[in-house]
Amino acid sequence: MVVPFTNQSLDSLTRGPKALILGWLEPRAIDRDEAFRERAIRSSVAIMGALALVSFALSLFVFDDPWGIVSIPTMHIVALAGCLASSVAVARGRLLLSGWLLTATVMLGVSLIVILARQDGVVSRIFVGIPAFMFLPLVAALIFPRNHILPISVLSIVLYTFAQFILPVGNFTVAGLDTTQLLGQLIALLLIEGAVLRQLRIEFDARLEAMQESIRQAEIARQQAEKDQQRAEEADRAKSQFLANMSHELRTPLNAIIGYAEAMLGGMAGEFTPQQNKLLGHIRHNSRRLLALINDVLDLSKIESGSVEVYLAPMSPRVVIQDSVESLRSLALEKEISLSIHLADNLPEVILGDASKIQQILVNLVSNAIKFTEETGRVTVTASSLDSSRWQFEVADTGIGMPAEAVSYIFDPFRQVDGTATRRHPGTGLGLAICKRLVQKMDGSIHVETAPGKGSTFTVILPRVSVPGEGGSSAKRSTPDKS
Amino acid sequence: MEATDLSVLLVDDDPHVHGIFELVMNHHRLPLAVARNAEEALNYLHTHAPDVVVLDIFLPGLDGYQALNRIRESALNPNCRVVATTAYYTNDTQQEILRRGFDGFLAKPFDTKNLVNYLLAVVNRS
Repeated sequence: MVVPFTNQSLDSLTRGPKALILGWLEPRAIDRDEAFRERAIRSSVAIMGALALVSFALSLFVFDDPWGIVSIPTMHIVALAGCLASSVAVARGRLLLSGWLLTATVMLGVSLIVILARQDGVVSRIFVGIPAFMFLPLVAALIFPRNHILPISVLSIVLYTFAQFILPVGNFTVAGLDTTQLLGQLIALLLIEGAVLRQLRIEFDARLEAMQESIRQAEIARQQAEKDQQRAEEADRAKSQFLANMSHELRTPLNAIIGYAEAMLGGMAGEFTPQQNKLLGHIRHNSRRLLALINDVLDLSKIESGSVEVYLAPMSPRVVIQDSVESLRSLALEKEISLSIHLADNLPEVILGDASKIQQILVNLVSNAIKFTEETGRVTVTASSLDSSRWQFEVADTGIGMPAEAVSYIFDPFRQVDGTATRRHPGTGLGLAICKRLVQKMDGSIHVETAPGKGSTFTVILPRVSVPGEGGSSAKRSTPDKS
Repeated sequence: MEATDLSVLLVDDDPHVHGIFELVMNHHRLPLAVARNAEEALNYLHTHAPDVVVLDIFLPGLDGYQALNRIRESALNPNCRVVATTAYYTNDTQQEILRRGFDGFLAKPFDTKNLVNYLLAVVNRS
């Protein structure tokens, strides 16, 4: 096998013949298209060189073919020289040159075979010519730019015609062989073959280009998406920072207003007339309402912007429920509402959960229930295990209930059931929206059953995560916001 | 109102918080010392021993928890109580504050009516 000595070949030499061969076959071109062609050329050169070498050895030592200007040994020498030249060209990166050298070598070689066959009168060898020449345009279609395909077909025709029919060599004729007809058919075949191959190449190239274009587009799209993602993350960070600042800025002056009003109402700034106290009371009451609203809005914004995290720690559902409900007992007593808890036997003693968020939800639901229930009504909190993977708690009241359509919007921010009702039942309208977002953050669900005049039952279902072993440590989990 | 024995150092950068606290303390005829930041507070504590320090844990500069440690280290009175105060809090915050070593927690806006009672309770707790 002919191997030109490039640096890479020298490297592969040290690793044995297999590595040598593989090293030779590896294309050096970077462009995928060129690399494909280069690999085809390299393989062809290798195969042909190997065959020529074997054949040469056979010719010299086995068949003992005679030498001459035009003879089998010289044909082999031509073939080997051509392979060598072609491999030098491909090693230097001159693909086109290398391809043409290879083609020229094959054409010359086959022409020589045909001439020799005519010379020696070996009919069978003559018939090698046609298939060999038809084979050339095929290979050309692979390795040449497509404008070269037809010229190669034409060249094949010319050379074969010359070698087979024109060159005055030998003296035998094949009986019944109409050379004109043969020639005519061959010319037609080769031209058609060339045209078809050229067309195939055009389509192939077009498809390749289309694929490369879509790869480019995908890459551009990916980079754009990355940039957009970065910008979105920055915006999120800016929003969180803004919320933190606003939180402080809004609360500070409001706390001052509330504080002074309360101090004055507490008689700490001298005596006021009943009328003045009444007005002070309005100031305090409304500033407290404003504070509640600000807290809720900031709460909701924090949740919406994804800055709220769920902290899972071992907790006792029983304790959390009891604490939340007890904190509202005085509120219930004011309206003589009976407030009771019923915990099912199957309620687990300890689970992994975010106690403060569950408490926040419960306090919101129970205070709503109390708010919307008339005097001497009933508010009941129940909790139970739903199945092996979920538990739930419910807050049911015997209050005024809601119309059926309210169920679809009651959890939206700033939606309350009835405009006029809010006068009697002041609230920020955000409580249920916050509850819903918190429940969602904990991978749970919340829904309500209600009817006007019959009261409402809010149900919260949460995943039941059991504590891993005894004394499970607290884990922190942050869920991405899916708004 | 009779004067009870209670001396307070308030550490907060908001002048209105001072104003409100003053109204309350004056009403109870109790003395009040005021510092605007941790540095002033520590200077004061080198030479005075109030019963309780009311510390805003979101003071600009020093982290509230670090301030707590510095105050405990340098207070003349080893039994000095330190109560945290802040405008933003959740249930977590309150528990975290107590867990970190504060003796009490005052949410803002202050409950002016019960402020002094709460501070007395914190101080008298053994």
